[in-house]
Amino acid sequence: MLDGIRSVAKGWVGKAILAFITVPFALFGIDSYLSQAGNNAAIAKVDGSEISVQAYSNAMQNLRNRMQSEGKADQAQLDSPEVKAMVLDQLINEQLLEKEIQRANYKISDAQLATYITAMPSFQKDGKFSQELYDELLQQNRYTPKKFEAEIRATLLAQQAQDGIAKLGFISTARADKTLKLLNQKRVVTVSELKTKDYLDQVKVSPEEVKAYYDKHKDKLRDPEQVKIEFLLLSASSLVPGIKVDDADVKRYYDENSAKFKGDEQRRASHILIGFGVNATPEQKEEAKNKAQALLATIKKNPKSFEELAIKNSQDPGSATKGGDLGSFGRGAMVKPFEEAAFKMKVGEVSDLVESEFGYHIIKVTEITGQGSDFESLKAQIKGDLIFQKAQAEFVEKAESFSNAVYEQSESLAPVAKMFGGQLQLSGWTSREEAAKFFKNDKIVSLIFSPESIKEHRNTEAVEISPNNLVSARVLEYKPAATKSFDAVKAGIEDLLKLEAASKLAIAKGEEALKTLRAGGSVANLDWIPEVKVDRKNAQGLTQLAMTQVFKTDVSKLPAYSGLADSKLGYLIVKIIEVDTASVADAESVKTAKGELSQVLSDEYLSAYKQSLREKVKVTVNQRLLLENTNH
Amino acid sequence: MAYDLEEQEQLDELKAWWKTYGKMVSNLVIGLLVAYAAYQGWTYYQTKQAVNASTEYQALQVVDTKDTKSFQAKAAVLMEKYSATPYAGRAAVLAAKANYEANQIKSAKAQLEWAISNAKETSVSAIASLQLANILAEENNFDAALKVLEAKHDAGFDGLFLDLKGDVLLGLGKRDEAKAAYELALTKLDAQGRYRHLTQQKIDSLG
Repeated sequence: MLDGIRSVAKGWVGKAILAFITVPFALFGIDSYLSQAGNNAAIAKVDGSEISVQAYSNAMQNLRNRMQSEGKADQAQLDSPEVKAMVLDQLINEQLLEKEIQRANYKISDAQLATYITAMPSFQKDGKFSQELYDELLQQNRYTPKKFEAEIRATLLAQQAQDGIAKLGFISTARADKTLKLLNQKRVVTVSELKTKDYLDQVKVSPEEVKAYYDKHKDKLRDPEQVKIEFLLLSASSLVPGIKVDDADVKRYYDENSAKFKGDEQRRASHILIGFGVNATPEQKEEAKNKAQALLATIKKNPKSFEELAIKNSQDPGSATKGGDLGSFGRGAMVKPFEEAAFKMKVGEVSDLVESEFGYHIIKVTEITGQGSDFESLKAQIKGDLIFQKAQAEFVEKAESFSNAVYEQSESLAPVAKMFGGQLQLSGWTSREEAAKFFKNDKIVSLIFSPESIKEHRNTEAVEISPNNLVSARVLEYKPAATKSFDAVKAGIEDLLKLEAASKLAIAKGEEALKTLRAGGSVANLDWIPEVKVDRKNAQGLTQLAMTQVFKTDVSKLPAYSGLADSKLGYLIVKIIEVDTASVADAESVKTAKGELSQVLSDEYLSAYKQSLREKVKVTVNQRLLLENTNH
Repeated sequence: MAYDLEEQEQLDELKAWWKTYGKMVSNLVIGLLVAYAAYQGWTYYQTKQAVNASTEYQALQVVDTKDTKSFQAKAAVLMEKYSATPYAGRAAVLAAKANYEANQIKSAKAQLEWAISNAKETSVSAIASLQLANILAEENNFDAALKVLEAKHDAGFDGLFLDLKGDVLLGLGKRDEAKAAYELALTKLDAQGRYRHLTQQKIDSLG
């Protein structure tokens, strides 16, 4: 039995299974297996095809880049659900369109593709398509011809299928005229406002009404419960003044962690190399050294001769022609002895002979950029870091005893304050809401307003309200929530009731007036503004509200009246005296307007087309993934 | 190599089986091959038609629509020879548009009717319906326009259909029904688009 399996495994079946397992790895690398769970998860599914998180992230990144290049990238905006949904929508639409192009069988032949590409201005040289230019530009932009041609083909197909829709629409002359008449219509109007505040002195509110309102709304007219508290804060930063770090500690820390302080310092240097070969004999070395020494002496006498001597004598062919210049380099780029020397020197200084495995160097530093890494320039920073580290360590150490102390001596915070050298702070009357705003921490607030704190005036447990900040509080006085007294609120209630009554009166008067006006009667005491001629773009000083009302008014009979009631402002009566549809501008602007109109129509056709594609297939969006996915 | 007795028996059985079923099997195989070849041929033909139609369609795009004769001739080729491709329906609507502009209303209507029943894309049929209803309404043939608008169409175009229906109803003097149609249209039109403002203004003008 076992033999059977073994022989199968050795045979072709076994080999085929093995091939199945190994081939995908060989083709796609192990990455594609691992990333299934992460970036390749589907953020949306369109008719069975998936849009991966990766594709979505790329689209987001593209958007960010485009906005950044225009200087208006706003991270908060980019992270908003609306923008995310929009970007995903775009991807879904692309996918839908691609499927529709396949389904409807749109095609672009190779000949059409070639005609288009060879006519693209980017690939033209002396008025003709240049194959060289084509290859060069593609390579510069990291495109293979295959990939580029596929993209152009997709663009052309989308042009035919989607952009073509916009070209199909046309608006009938009659309809265009009607719409334009409506759009450009001018109305000669006047309005009259019956303002609430003008009716205030005509209304009376009796004390009984105020009392009745108070009784009815008592439940809502309440002051919340309030406390006066004392509290004590233990924080790492408050411990800083008591911490001492001496220079020796700083130096020790610098030495122990010198690797960490390498900084990003870059140095530029020139050198003259006198080499002595790989297996040099002592004599050869000596000879090289003598030669180098002679050069060094000349340079010391005349520092300006460095470049010239480098050109003539340096045996480093790469730099010799440039007067010895090596360009800029950071730590780790050069052989050790060279680096040590170069990073010790000042700008313009010339080194003594430096021996490396290549030979003898004479080095000149020409430029220093970036953050230095020597002890002196880092001292202050390291000291600050050390102090804070110690303060933090002390905080952690004290936190537990602080917590214990406020618990054990729960009757007062004063002794704890003394013990930890903190200042006890007092508050005025504070509601829950105010306390939450102050501490920015819900736990401490609910502890302060807990029965234990309120009734027994015990210290709350110590709460870390934010990292490295520990607070304990104690309630000194407590005032339960209470209905506001009648006297405290009666004036306010009276004002409110008066406003309500006045606005009711204004509206009633307005409605009555409107009725009379519509019946052809006249109403005295209405303040009409001077007549104005308005159109949708020119309000002539009318408010937005009035404008909307003006164009909402039925003008089948002139003069036409309409009214608008507002429970706060009062009542607005609109009178339309004349409707002017004849003066529809000159032929030129009619033409422009018609052009605009067909553009609006085309846009709507396009969105209807997209909507139709979407309604025909199943589209699902993984909302959770979409909302969670923030890439920076 | 000589066959032993057992193998000889198996061979005989096979021969007998082939005698009975051989013809059927070979017919089946031939049938499958023919079907496959036909399918391949059909796909090839379709692709070739689509590619040719695409070329014709691109050519149509660059003809000046005012050159009615050649524009119509090119569109006609697409409608006649390539009616199985999506390009035919598009060409029909484009031709109707050009005819309407040249005041050839009758031809325009005929082309739109053709597109409504023959276009390979339902969205193009929907657009053709809208345009046809538009023209009918302009001719005060409101009942015919309503009939076109009430035919089945892509749901994505509901907003545009309802908006035009409002216009037609208004032409029939049915103000309340028109207003109801406009109001329903507002719920279907692109919420970010500009078209809906026009519809809103029509509602406003009804008071």
